[in-house]
Amino acid sequence: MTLLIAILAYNEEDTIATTIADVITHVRDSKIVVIDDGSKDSTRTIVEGLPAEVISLPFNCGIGIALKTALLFGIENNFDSILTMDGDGQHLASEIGRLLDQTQEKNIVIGVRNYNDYKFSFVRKLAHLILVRILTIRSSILITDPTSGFRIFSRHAATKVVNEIDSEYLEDTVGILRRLNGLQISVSQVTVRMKPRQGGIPSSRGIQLAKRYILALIMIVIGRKP
Amino acid sequence: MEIKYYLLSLILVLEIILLIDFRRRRITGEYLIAASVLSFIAVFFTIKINLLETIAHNLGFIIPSNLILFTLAALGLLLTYRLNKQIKTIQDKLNILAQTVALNETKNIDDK
Repeated sequence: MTLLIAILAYNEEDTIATTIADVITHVRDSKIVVIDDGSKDSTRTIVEGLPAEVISLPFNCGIGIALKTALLFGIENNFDSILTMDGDGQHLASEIGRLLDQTQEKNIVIGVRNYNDYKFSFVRKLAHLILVRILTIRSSILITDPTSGFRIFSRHAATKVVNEIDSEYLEDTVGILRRLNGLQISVSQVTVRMKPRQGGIPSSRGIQLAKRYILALIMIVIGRKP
Repeated sequence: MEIKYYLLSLILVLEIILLIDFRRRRITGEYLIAASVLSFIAVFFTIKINLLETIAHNLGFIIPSNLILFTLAALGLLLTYRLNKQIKTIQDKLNILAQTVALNETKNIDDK
């Protein structure tokens, strides 16, 4: 089975080298590609000096487009599975094997964090609980961490979802889950260990984050057309 | 029927149109939120008429020309709505272009 590991990064100069080193240590026989979402710092330059390929978007398009680019690259180069993870050091390469064990021909496996071990702000925890509940009602899918970007797409699943992704925040995670029923793709979850962000600045905080969660809720309730 | 019921119906229709357009990916989420918040403020002021009068009075406005104000607000909303639809279309095209450029660049490096 050929595996592509796509690391999505935006301004991750502090953590990208460690993330790649972690992947190299724990996963053999895979290709590593970093999708640089128009970083303004030296992320790209750092990756160019490491044993990983870099695909640079000319400007910041949003994580949805970065994911879409990763999936397109994987499909075009005939990879059997495409694993996506963040470049901020949250996702541990040592857990990739557990996701691979669950991978089947037509599915997506999501690495979910254990809420008891992971420190969340109250607002974020509440928002997650509401998202999970509404997502379960609207799409009959129970994923306890629907915003997790630590996932493996089978080639079949990647081909089906690649045209469903938009640039809006959480379209790449919650948005995909909302539409899985119609695409006839199964999804499963594996509880994994995750670290807090190891460096850099989150793409949204405070009011911006609240606004984005509200949009995600609207997205789940009304659904969005491809 | 009182004017406030017309306004409330208008805002309700507007919200439905915005949600449909968001669902069809014709407008951005940012605009949906901004227009919804403004609509709720408008509903609040429509229902609490005395509040608007008090604020206008305290700010020094004497009898605001409501019709002109309403027409300008409606025209402003229509204009921003049309602009946002165009922005969303251009943004989508630009994103596709960006991703094509990035993938082609990688392909060219591999070919060399």
